[in-house]
Amino acid sequence: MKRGDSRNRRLLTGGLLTGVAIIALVIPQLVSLAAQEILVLIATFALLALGLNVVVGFAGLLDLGYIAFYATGAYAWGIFSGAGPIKMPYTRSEFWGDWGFWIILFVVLAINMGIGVMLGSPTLRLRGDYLAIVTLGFGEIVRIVANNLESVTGAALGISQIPHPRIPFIGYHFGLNPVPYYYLLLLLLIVGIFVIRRLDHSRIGRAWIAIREDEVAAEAMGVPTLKMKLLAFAIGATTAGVAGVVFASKSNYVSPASFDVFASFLVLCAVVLGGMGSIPGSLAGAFVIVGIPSFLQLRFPELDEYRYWTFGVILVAMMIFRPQGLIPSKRREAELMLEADPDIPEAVT
Amino acid sequence: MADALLEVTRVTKVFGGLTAVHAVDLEILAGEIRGLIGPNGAGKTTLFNCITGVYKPDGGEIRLEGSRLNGFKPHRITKAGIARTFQQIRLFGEMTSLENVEVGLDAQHRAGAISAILHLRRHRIENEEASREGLNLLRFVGIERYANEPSRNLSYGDQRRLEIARALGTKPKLLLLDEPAAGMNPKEKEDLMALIRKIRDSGVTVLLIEHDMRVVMGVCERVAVLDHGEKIAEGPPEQLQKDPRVIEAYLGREVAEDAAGA
Ligand SMILES: Nc1ncnc2c1ncn2[C@@H]1O[C@H](COP(=O)(O)OP(=O)(O)OP(=O)(O)O)[C@@H](O)[C@H]1O
Ligand SMILES: [Mg+2]
Repeated sequence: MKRGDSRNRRLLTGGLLTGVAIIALVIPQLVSLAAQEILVLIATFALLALGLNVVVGFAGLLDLGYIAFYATGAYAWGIFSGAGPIKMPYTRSEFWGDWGFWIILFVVLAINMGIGVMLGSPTLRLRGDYLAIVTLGFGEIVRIVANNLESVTGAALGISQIPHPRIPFIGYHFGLNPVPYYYLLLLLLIVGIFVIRRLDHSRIGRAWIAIREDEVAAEAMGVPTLKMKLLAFAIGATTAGVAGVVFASKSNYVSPASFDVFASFLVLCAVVLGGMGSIPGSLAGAFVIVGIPSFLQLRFPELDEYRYWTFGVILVAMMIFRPQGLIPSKRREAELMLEADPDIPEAVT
Repeated sequence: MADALLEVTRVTKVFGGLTAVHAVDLEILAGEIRGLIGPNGAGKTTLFNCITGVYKPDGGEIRLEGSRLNGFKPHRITKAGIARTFQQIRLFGEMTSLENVEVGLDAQHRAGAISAILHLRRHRIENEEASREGLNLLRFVGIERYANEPSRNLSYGDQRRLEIARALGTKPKLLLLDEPAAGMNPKEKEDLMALIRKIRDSGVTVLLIEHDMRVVMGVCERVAVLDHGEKIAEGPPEQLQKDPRVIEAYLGREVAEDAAGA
């Protein structure tokens, strides 16, 4: 590659990024309330996809129960806000009312990191298919627990009247208006992208890709593979948890129905469609997976029954025309230009 | 006697009913290039896997500079000072050559997630060091022009060199090479022999599995011979060539007797 080439490319992506950023900032001011709701949905999914991309795209760990971490985040705010069946030693109108949401947003980082490590320590020793099955099971267990543990989660009825966030000091109340949630998610996305990009460009990112490429060789080159996989898992879990807190505070209501396997698959689709291991890809994937069907539904409500049909068409078309994803990571791009190599035999030779 | 860098004592590895490595003793001195030869299936790679912790030996002891390595995870053994290459190339195919070597170099690095996120000093220094030393190592093995090429695009011989560079990145005391000359043409083999000597001269001890006897004769001062999991002979290569047990292992009993009778 010539040097001028890469500079032009950088200028182009820089321009493109600025454009996307400006659009993302002003768009809620230009559209209807219904479209604003969709924007919140897209931003939530983008955050979820961003986190899952670390697990699946970078470290190569197929996690099919990812949505469980979204659920724990959502329930954390539902329960700690005092809206759930467990009575909290504070009432919502107090000091807690202004600060509670923001505190829980941070507490969830710790909670989900803990859950991620707890779940990951035994399971991340497994490889490939086994890990996928175990995480699939974990996702279902969390949903089933939420569905049955009435004294904590309110069972199938869920938790309602979850408080909306307030901004301390100025006393701004998020309420039902989707726009502040959208901007909050945008802020969280920016923080997430910043953190994950920096990790990607460090020895940790290198270790993740090495594990994805060849775990035996990574270990032999001194990569503490279990630790690095746990880190990827924990980062995915915290990202999803934060998204869950915002979701619960926005929708004011959580129930197990929001966290079924299909939701996990949807996020996974966003990551794969966008391009595994690519941060902009995950964001684009989220837009395509939830944005396009939602906008179509908004524009053509009579086509509602075709909703999953469009989804299927998008998937099939992508697999045929752009298997490497919408915005593939540079590494993947290179890989797919060549034939897939034969499987590495089980024995280490 | 001189200090042994690696002491392998009565190491055994069993797969089901098959004893792939049987009570093998091996003592490698610091600064030597030791050969490890034997017919196909003799247990050479299995011994490497035991030394590097990929397999857990069923018996025996492995010591590096006197301290036991048994039961360590492979990444700990690597950090203790033993690096390896693989008989069947196992590079990180999607990563560039430079990145492959950087992964090896990262074995020495300590910067954690916080350091990376906040671009703290340690992260910056180590990251910069990784690319600088990575390029040096690529130059050392002679493939720096492919630094930014995804490693799977490299030729077979260059991939083998890259595996060596990646292993050297971990700053080993002992480098285990598993058939590095496989698939190389004569010119590449010449270069490889020079490279192995250069590695030794840089202070790294080498244990070399190799089928190509010209390479073994060319670089090894001493050679150990494995057959059916057991060490059957050890000594300078010229001497082993006349050893009836070695000839028998490679060519069968009758040929060996003929050779002895002639
Ligand atoms: N993971 C494994 N499971 C079962 N048997 C194995 C395993 N790895 C090696 N073996 C067996 O152990 C024996 C020794 O194999 P090994 O690969 O160590 O031989 P080698 O000396 O490296 O041979 P080559 O020169 O062909 O590479 C062989 O019979 C092989 O089939
Ligand atoms: Mg072998």
